[in-house]
Amino acid sequence: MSDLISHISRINMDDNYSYVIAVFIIFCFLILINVLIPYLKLKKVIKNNKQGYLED
Amino acid sequence: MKNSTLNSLLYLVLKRDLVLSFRRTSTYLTPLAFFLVVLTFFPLALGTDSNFLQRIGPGVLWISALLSSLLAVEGIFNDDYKDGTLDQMFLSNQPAFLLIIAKVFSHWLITGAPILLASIIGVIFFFLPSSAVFPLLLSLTLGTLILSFFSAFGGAISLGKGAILSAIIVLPFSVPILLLGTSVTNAALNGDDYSGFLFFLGALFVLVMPFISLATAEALRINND
Amino acid sequence: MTSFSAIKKWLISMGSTPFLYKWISRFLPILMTICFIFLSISLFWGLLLAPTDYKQGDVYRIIFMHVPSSILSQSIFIFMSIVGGICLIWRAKVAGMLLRCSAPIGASFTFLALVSGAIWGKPTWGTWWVWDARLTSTLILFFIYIAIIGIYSSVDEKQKGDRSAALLSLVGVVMIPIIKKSVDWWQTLHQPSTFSFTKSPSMPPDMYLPLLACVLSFYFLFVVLLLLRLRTEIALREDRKNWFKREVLKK
Repeated sequence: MSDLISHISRINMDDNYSYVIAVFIIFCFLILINVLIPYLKLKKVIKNNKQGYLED
Repeated sequence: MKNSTLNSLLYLVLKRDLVLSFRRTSTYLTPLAFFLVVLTFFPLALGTDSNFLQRIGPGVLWISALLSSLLAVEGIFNDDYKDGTLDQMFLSNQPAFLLIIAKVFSHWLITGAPILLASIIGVIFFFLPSSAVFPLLLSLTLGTLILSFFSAFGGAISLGKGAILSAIIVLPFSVPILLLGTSVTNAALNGDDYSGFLFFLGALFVLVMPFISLATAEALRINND
Repeated sequence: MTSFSAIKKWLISMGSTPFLYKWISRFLPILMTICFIFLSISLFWGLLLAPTDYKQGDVYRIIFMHVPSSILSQSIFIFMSIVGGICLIWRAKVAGMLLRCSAPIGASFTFLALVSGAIWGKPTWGTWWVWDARLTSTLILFFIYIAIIGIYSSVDEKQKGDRSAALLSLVGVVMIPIIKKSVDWWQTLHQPSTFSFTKSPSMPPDMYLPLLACVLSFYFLFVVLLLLRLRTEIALREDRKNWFKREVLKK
């Protein structure tokens, strides 16, 4: 465990690591989209359902 | 006895489609005109250096052929769907996919075959040597035939939904045809042996035709219900 | 013996949308938590702890996101064709929904594979894009995903859209090997040099273990994302049914 901590503190990435960070950000963004869109759609359906379809 | 009725039915479908297509000049003229127009635009946009045109010639001819087949995608089944002829075809006892083969073949005669003739003009426009004409025609024949089948599938699966959706469906599947077809002509231009590519194109055709016809029949069935 | 029949019973009950909806609602929070933990550990391991490559430096770490996403993009496509076959042959409603829900997720993974490949290419080869066989066939796979999504979203009637998409995915799964072979062939004719960073010499365990962990966690991620979309899809379809109204009022 202390090995791990000392290893982490010694981490030093080279300059090109920003490319890795960019990919990681895009990855998180894609997950976010794939989680938010279904969730928001579900909320909308449930809300419409509870309101008894006033907008129909 | 049964065989002759099947043959006569296929012949009837073929004849009917051809007669209908020739009734309106635009049906057979537009794909041809589109092919020539697209062909013309490449030298206009990219420059007229003869060496350059010779290099891009086969690829441009193939792309123009591909785009013109896509243009005609909508027409294959839409008219029949609208006036109910499609229902009649399914009600008949004949296996649907054979009827589809007849329809696709007639579609090819209208759209693909004129392209073969127009490609001679392409050979002139792009300064291709006369040794390239024969392999170009052979590969285009096979290629446009295969493309007609894929276009039929694209049109059937997106029946009534518009040409662009059909195009998006057909284009990824037409990549192997494009790659093989241009390889044939490019190999011929370099003086290499192009028969291997032609065999592959032919094999692709033999594999694709029954499978895609069945898929087209299924797509029509889905959209007809 | 009894556990086998229990599994069978569970599978059959999964075919009913009310049961499926309630099951997902119940287990999704904990599945999402486990997935998040697993994903974080694997990515932390790969992106920070794994040893630096002596040739490429630290940029190679993109591999921990690039390879899993391309494996997933192809696996999801095959999954879609299997589920699509079930939908077409047996007209199973849930199979159709699984197909419709996995398409955007598969497209996202394919997109990630393409973008991560391009971003990896810039520092290693100097260009944003290379027409190598792998990237080109992944691009075509992406187009096929878009075609499938286009086809089912253009049809109003849900079951019809499912079946059209299923047919397209079946045709796609047959054409994909042909496309790959022809792109491979075309590539070897045109490019004198082939960049094949994925065919690199076998990795030391320090590198392929985190890679394996990332691949497995991506699979888990797919399942979680699929269940999320499936729940919403069930809600969209069964909106007016009584069981759904009761379920909504319960909360």
